[in-house]
Amino acid sequence: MKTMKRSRITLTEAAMLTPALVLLLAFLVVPFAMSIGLAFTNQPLLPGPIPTKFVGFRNFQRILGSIEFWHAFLNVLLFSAMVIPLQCGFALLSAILLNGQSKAKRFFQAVFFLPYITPMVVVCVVWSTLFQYPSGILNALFSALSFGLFEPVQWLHDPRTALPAITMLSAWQAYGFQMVIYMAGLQNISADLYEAAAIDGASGWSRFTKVTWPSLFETNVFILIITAIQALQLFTQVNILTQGGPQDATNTLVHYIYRSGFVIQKVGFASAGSLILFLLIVGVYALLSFLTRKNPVGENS
Amino acid sequence: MKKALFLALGLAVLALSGVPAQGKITVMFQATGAESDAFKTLFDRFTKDTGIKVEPMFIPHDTYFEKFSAAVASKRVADVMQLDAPFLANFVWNGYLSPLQGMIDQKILDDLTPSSVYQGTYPIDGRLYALGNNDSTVLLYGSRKLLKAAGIRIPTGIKDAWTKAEFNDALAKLAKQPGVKWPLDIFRAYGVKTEWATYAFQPIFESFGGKLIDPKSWKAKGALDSPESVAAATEIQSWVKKDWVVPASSGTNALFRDKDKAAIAWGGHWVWAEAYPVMKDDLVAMPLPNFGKGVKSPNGTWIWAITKSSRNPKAAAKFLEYLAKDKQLIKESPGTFPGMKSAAALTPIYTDPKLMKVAFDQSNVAVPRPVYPGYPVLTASFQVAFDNILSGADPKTELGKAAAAIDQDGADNDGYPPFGE
Amino acid sequence: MTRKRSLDLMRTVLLSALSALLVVPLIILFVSSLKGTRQEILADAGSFKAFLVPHPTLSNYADILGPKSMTPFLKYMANSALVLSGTVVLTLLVSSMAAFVLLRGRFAGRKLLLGIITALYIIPNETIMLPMLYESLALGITDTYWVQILPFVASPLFIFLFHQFFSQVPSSIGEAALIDGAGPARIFRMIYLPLNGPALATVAILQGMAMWNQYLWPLLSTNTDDFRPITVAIASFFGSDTILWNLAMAGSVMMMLPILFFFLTFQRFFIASVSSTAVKG
Repeated sequence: MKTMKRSRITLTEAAMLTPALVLLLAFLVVPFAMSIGLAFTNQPLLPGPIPTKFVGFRNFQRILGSIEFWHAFLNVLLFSAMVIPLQCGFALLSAILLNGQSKAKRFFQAVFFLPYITPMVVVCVVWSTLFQYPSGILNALFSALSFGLFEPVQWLHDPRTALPAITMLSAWQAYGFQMVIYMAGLQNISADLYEAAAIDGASGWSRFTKVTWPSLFETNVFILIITAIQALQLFTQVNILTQGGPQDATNTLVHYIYRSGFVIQKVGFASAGSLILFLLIVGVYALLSFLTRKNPVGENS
Repeated sequence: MKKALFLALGLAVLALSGVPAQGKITVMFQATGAESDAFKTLFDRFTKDTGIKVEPMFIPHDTYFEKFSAAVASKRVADVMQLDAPFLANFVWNGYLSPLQGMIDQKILDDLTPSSVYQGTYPIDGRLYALGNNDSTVLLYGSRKLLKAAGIRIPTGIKDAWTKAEFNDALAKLAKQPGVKWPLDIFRAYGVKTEWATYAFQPIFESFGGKLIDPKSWKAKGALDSPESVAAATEIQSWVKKDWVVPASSGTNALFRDKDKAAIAWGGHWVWAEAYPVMKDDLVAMPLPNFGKGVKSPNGTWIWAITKSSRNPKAAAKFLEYLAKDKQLIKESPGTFPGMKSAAALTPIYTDPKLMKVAFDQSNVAVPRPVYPGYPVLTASFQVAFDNILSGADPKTELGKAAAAIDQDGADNDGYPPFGE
Repeated sequence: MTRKRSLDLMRTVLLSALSALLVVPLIILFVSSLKGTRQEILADAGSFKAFLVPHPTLSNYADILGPKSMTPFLKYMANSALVLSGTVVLTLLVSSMAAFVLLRGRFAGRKLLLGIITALYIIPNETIMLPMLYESLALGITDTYWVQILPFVASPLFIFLFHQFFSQVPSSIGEAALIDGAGPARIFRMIYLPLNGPALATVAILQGMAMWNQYLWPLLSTNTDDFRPITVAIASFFGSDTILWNLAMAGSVMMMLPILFFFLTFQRFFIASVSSTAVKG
């Protein structure tokens, strides 16, 4: 029985919602609005003799007309397509394997979570030694596994392998995030469902397809959307390891914005880039939300 | 009676707290590891000797400009600040620094090496705005054994530095030498877009007769993409094309490690401290090659300035004088490249011809990076172009694109008056 | 062997193999932290010697914690811990309450509001850093713990996460309680929170991680050692052309230990709450 909807909010509801709204307003909406304002100016990073003035859409025109920007957009789309299956797939696998509270399981859970605990700077620094050419560990490993057929590669400095290299590193560092969420999601699946499936004679793979996967629907939606948004904002690893190179192969939207704002010192220009980035991601988000909407009848699409 | 006493005490405390912090300055700086420890003791010594308290504002190197911008926004700019030399023009033009003449003992100013003077001078008014007690340079390092085995002459000073032909010849010979994987390491592993590109290679452009930007009109077009500049870029690209250069994925210690070695390193003076413990007397320091217009070398390091908004400029000046005269700081970091003539005597490796005297001599032929307020865009554009050229792109096109970006920035800022006028 | 036992064994073998592969970079990290000089680390870097340390030493750890160091490592760690705790506690409270109201409240416009809030997650941090700074200056909260805590308490990510998890609790339970006269606050406290231990643990861990790794914002918004976080100390080992590998490795190991402990503490909440079976039927 569905309760009647009211249009007015109760006092309690308001009290529970207000702290979040106030903080969001203060620390997200207002600064973003300020940033949008800056996007139409030529504000530099350091205030100087040239007065800040309104420049209309000039920043936007330059950005949308720049090849570098669109190449960066393509890169993050590519990166997302690679990293989402890899990272989330492995996270789900891990969560399923680690589901449980036995001492052994808890030990492995902690081990599996270690990469996520490692600060990204350190991850980059250590992985750069793995990526060394010609005798870094990764090259040596692939060489050994292929019985010498594999030619060593300059992982981070060859335009063809740079983005995959960053993908591997990113998936390794961050799968802990999705793993932990999947672990919580798996906990919410009632044991009754598994019993019913067992009674029906299902086992192993069909347990997964008939019970686990469908029950993870809300979790999956969340993970897909959030991981996509995070992937589109790839920055830190690129900034440390490749600075967008080689030849723009790993340039990302946030890196482009960061360089404009903090290296080339044009805050107005960077703000315009941020606004465009925001709109692009909102587009992706809307698309994903639409594709994963639940059927009105209540069955999963 | 007691009441009066308390009252008197209270008034005394009030009076004393009202005395302005005549002896206090904030110092904004960046440093790494041992260097930052050395600064800490420097501050303590300064306070002990002068009574002026120092409030250090340490900022990690990678976020220095962001933090400075935040400091400006919060109106909490320090009294003394460090800055990377090529950015001096940018800071002075934006109105953040005070000239040093009149505030600093002239004897100290006279003691600065020509390279140091160059770095700290603002071309528009010719005044000195910053000084440093250390400097830097880039030179060639090699292994005596390998060079001898390949039959290559080892230059002993700037006067007999390798010519372009000799340098190429040496590299070709070394490429065939057993034990050498790559003849030349230009430290591509430092990163794709770092100051290293502009810093270490601008002098080659100068040695070819080219320039990054015209110092009269302050336009990059015609200078950065001039035939001489393109020739310089093409030359460097040719080394990479012939597979003579250590790749970017191969680390920064190719000169002195066990396998995948490089024979010659084109490195900063700081490489000495890393290579010498391993190579000992086999390590030889050589001047950069002369590509036609003479040996030109880089310079520049983090130098110290007094901010215009400082409320205690006299104390700030005292600090700079103390820093310049401080011998202990230099002793604590033995690889430091001296920026003052008197300091050279304290750094024996720079006076010994068998060691690094060649490096110190190069400060007489140092060419600073363009002293231009638009330097941030200049270096960023150059870095991108340089990396693309090393990866095989056409030098003329890339340098042309960079020049256009630099000039566009100039136009956006009305030419950085009075530079562009 | 029973089917279950052999499955368990296979599982353990698989987990062990995966673990070994996964921790390779971390072994290198730990081993490097025991090497006294950065030259030693660099020399071993490109080969299998990266896993071996012939003369292990704790000198790097001593150097970092020692009094001569410019950055008071332990103080910074304490600052980070304080900020982490404050943020996690407030986030759990504020974000879960908001998510609950957005899900089970009964006023118009909830869905839209949730959509907007989730869209706010898209705003890249770097974009708003400088405006946030100007704002914090105006509010007078710079150089405090609060300035490092407040901006992250109402997190669109975690509001959305709580929303997803809360939506798995059928509305019938809440409605039953409503009929009994319970108000939304009560339903939240007595029903939704206890049923969502795993979600709370998840948010605690993820927010904790995020706060422990905060770098740019605390750097911009604080000036003095009194309030600076551990990330600044680690950054001080990365210079312009030289990385102090030995100190950076040791510092990172030390930085990772507290958060590992934090994770272990919250691990036990990843159990299904008993009443989830009461949910069915």
